[in-house]
Amino acid sequence: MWLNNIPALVDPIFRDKFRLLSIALSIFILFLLGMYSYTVNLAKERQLFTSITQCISGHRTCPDGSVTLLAQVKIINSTNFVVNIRTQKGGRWEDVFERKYDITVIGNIDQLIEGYSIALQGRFISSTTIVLEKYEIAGAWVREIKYGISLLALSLVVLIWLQTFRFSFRRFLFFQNRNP
Amino acid sequence: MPDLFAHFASGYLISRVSRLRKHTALLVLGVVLPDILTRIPEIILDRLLGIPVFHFVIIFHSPFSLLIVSFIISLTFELRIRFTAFLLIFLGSFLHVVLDLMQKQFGEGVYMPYFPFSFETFQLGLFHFNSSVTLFPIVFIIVLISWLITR
Repeated sequence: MWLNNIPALVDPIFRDKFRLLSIALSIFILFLLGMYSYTVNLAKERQLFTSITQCISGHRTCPDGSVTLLAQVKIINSTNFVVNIRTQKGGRWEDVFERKYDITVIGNIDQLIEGYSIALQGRFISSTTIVLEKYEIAGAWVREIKYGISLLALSLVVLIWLQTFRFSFRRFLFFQNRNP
Repeated sequence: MPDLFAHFASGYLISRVSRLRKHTALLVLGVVLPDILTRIPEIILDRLLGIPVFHFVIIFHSPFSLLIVSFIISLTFELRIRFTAFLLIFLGSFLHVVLDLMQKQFGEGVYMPYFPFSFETFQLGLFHFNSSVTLFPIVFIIVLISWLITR
């Protein structure tokens, strides 16, 4: 079958001779790529969070255009609501929102509940006020359903995999079963 | 991201083509691979333990990194099917990235398809990133029917 033919150009790198060395080198390259992405993206993210923190604390002019932010709803009024804005990344919700500064968001959102986390897009008209343009509320249940569905998919992949391959620890290789 | 079952279905349904059927395992591994390498560390390390790994593991949603990952995995296969494994795992993972790029996330996209040559993010915005959850029952039935017909 055409899939089984290794093109001559790449044939040497798929051979057994330097297999473990190739694996080790490739993992090292992936590690370097990961560190590159981590360093550059973290710097960008910190810059964004710093500019937002300085904006809401009044130390710096707020961005002119639309900004996308994650916020937690604190108080709901008839024509606006008050939020705390996320200025950090992290696993714990309690740590990531800047609670020293309350931000008023002008605009209505149906079915908003205090304590909800929302993604919002809007424009700062002052350091304490945002005019809402777009928003999105994702209930935690969506994420949980997604996890459940994803676990089903993972189980199916494992099942198909076990039917098709067996692993030899001695040779560190997968072998195809005779009748997958 | 679309849920993992939608990704699984994309690979599984392609593998129903008679010439690819005996390689179903490779193709379905490929289509779930980017999320195994990105989401599982993100959920466990970033969200649960607070160790910020997201910017590190997001590289596993770029074709260049997935090419290297597919190469590494393919080297753990017997020589007879090694190149096939490489091609199909990469094809599956590339399909995953294409599906993810089609979705619409709030704000800017998070995936960097041109990494490491560019950090530019990109999304086509064809469907909402949670819409696959709504479609799950239909996709599940399609997969079930195709399994019954082709097993």
